[in-house]
Amino acid sequence: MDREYIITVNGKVTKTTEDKPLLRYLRDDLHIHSAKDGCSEGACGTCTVVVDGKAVKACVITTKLADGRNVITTEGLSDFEKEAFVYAFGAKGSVQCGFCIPGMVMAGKALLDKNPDPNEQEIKTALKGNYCRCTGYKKIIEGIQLTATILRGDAEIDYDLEKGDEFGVGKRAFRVDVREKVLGYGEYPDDVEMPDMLLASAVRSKYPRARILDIDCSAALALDGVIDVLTAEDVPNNKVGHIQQDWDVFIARGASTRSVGDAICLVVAENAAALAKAKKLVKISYEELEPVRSIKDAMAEGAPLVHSGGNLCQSRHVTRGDAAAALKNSAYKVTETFKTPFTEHAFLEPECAVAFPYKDGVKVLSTDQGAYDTRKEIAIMFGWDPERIIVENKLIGGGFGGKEDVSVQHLAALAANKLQRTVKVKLTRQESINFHPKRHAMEGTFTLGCDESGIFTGLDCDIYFDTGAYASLCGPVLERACTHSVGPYCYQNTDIRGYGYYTNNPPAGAFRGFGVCQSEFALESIINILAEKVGISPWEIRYRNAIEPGKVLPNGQIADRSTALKETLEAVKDVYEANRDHAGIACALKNAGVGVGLPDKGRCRLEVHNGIVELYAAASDIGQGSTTVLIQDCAELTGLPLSKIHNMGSNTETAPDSGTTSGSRQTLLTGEAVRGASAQLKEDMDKAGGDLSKLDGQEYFYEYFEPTDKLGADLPNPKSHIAYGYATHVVILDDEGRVAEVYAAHDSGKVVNPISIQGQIEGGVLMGLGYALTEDFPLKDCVPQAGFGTLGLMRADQIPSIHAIYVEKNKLLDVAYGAKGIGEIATIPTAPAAQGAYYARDHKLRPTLPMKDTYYSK
Amino acid sequence: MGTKSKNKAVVLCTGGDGCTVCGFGCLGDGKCAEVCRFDAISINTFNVAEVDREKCRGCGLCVKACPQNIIDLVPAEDSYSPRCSNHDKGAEAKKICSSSCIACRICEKACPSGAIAVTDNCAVINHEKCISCGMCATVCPRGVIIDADGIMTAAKQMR
Repeated sequence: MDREYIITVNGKVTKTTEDKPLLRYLRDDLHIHSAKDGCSEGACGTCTVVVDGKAVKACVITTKLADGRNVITTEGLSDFEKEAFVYAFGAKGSVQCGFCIPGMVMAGKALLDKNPDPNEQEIKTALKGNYCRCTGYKKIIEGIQLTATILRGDAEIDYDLEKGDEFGVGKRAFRVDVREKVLGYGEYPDDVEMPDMLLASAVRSKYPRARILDIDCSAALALDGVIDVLTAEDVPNNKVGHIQQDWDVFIARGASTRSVGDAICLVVAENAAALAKAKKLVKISYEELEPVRSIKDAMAEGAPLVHSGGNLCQSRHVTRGDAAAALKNSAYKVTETFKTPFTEHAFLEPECAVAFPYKDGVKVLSTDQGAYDTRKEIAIMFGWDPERIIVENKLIGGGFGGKEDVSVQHLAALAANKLQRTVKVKLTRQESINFHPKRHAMEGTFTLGCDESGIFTGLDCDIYFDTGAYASLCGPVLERACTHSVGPYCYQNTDIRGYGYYTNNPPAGAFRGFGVCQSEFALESIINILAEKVGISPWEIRYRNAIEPGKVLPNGQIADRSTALKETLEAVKDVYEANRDHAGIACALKNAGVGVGLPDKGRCRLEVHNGIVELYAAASDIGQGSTTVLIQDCAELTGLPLSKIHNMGSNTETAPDSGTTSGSRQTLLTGEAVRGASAQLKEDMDKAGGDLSKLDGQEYFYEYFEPTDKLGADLPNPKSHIAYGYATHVVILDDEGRVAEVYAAHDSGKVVNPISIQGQIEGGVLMGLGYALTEDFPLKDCVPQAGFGTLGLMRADQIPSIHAIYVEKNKLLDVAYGAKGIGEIATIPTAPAAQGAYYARDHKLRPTLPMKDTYYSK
Repeated sequence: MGTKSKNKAVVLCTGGDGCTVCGFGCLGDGKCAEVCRFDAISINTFNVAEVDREKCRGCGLCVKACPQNIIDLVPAEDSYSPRCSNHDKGAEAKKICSSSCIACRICEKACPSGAIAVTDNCAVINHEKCISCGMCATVCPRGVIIDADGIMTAAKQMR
């Protein structure tokens, strides 16, 4: 007889004869989904549970090792502990995407059981095995501190905060998803279980570039529990792609692979064991080909073509005035070449989708950055009317740009449609790393000039992007890199040339900052050298050139009245100047909204049913908090409490398309749509004496669209974007060269949620610091070499003290209550500010990222 | 709850089958126990020095006293240590002792953070990189990598 393992889980005695990771036992057998599967490698901590008092990763410990032990998940917390964690994490803003949170809670519980009054360092140490990619850890540490205080009886839970009777713009609004994310019952796609659900996973290329000679699925198909193996022959139109459809769903027999993430076939099975076994039984014969490893390779004469149209994927030429003449006549100019790496988003939730037959098509439960974008790509694959596909967002465990393209959704839909069954497709962490588009690696040469007093005269630059195997969002990302390479300053001569090349590396696409992290790193680093030549401080040169309301940005757009770059500079002046010999400073601007002449619209429909206002706007909340912010936008005008406004989520069947979660646009664009619909509702409410029951069945729809001018429009002052956010960051080093403090001052217009914005800024800063100092994406012959634990993501015990500052002007834009969004800009100025800090210490330019010769590069 | 010290002493030998023949391991002569001012080290039934983590304050006197140089100070929060000092090649180490590191590198391959490496035929943890996930301990086929908390070690002979 098999040995039986007896494990007490949340007080209940359970038994199994299978020796397997405890995580699989909890999730698959006991249906306890609070322990999240973020990597199954022991790297991320999302599955942390408490075993006999110790915080343990459930993917590491096995049922055999857990035999006779006592396991606690969030479900097993006492009611008081649950309430304490929920309140503390909500009040402190510890929760963003939420995927790491149950693990953080359990790591926190194990600590507090042993040490009811831990200091900050002890909390950081206790969390060092748990990644968070959203918050920068600070808010989670504060959440655990407050939990401890409550559990000790030294503070009380204020239940009114979560209740949210005052939920308007600028109020300390408790995010609506805190409870489900802290206690772990909120559903991400991987938490979905449906009757007779099949599991599917793709067999992916062994080589970055190889011809597929043969695909032999016979052994896999013969295996018990295997339902089907889908290949390119099963796909009506074998191409997807967010903008350019250049991405093969499957690499067909006879065709060549373009990167190691490429899917060749999809195995569909009844259970995980059969699926894993069957994938190994698929025999693929390859003819290995020489890969295109770099931009240089791609540009070389006679280079192998990654795509038939040539290796140049996208190019842009942004020019205004006469840069050559301006630079020639400049008192000072500096030319430097910079190199930045691919960066992995490392969202905590790997890609997963569940699809099933629905009406005359399929329905997909998805984690993405735009349900309508996902629908569009799937429709292209099927050659269908998009209406036949319904996409619904479940909770989204982070995106940062990496979930804009379809990854698993189309595969799940394809299999669900062919087999007329429910199918779940999930990427392993390594598949996720290999597959989804990264931040583009850049090589760029920048020349910036100024006059005797440091006023910028002109910029000339070449920007080369490695876009890897597929275009993804190469065009717009390259374009933003070019348009924003000028910085938030006021000068009128620019000549910017951008090129994006295909290689056989993993694809590159959108990533928080959208190309601007790369080009502003270069520009801001050069500005410090110019300041040195002029003989003024790096703060002063920025202040002298800073854009102001009414002045003209280098792209010709007139800065609007809300522009508050100078205020952000003023906010950090004293702290910068006081630490000048070991501090760096950098500014940034980032557009809110897609802009450049595209039909970028925010839409919202409000419906009144049973005294409740239902808010419909398909806007993916990838953790940034838009679900809550949109309710605040409605509460502001209507004066309704949270209990009367329900955000119905992002679903293409019920909610109007409110565009993608990209370009820091939801707070402004969808926010304005909600404001517009709420104004209509308010009018009727006033007529009804505030009685919602009299408005039952009423609907209010508002579409917000503010046209912008396309790039290169022949206008004296084209308006490229609806709005820009501005920021100044200061990075201060300690004596050993460690980052001790970061001051991040932001102009994002009106702050809708003061709790959330801090976490957005802190998380953005830490991501920027990782980019500057520790994160890399090494490739060997186009194959990623890093695992989830070795990407160089910062851990809780490595964080500096981060000070999030927001300047709020009294002159605001008259849309969305004056809010401009914060999503991307928080991560842009940090890397050049860190570069500047090291430069201040030793006057050595570090032009590559992650920077060499720092405390962190040892 | 144990004493709040930054480091704890760890003896890098579990004594195998109670022998001292490998030449690298603990001699059981008790020099470490003699110098310890907190009564935190004793010689156990396997004739090997054993640290009481509750009592250990990480002062390091035992480290200096050990004639074999096989006591390490490791961060208190890192409960995992490969407890073997046998630098012989795998086959020899395996022959001579039932709980020796045989330099198979399974731990190295499984570690998610690149924190453990076989150096001179023994697994060694870089505590700067270690995130205490315990993966090394669960995969070690020899039960050499031990969880001081006694939960994660996959040992046939957990000590």
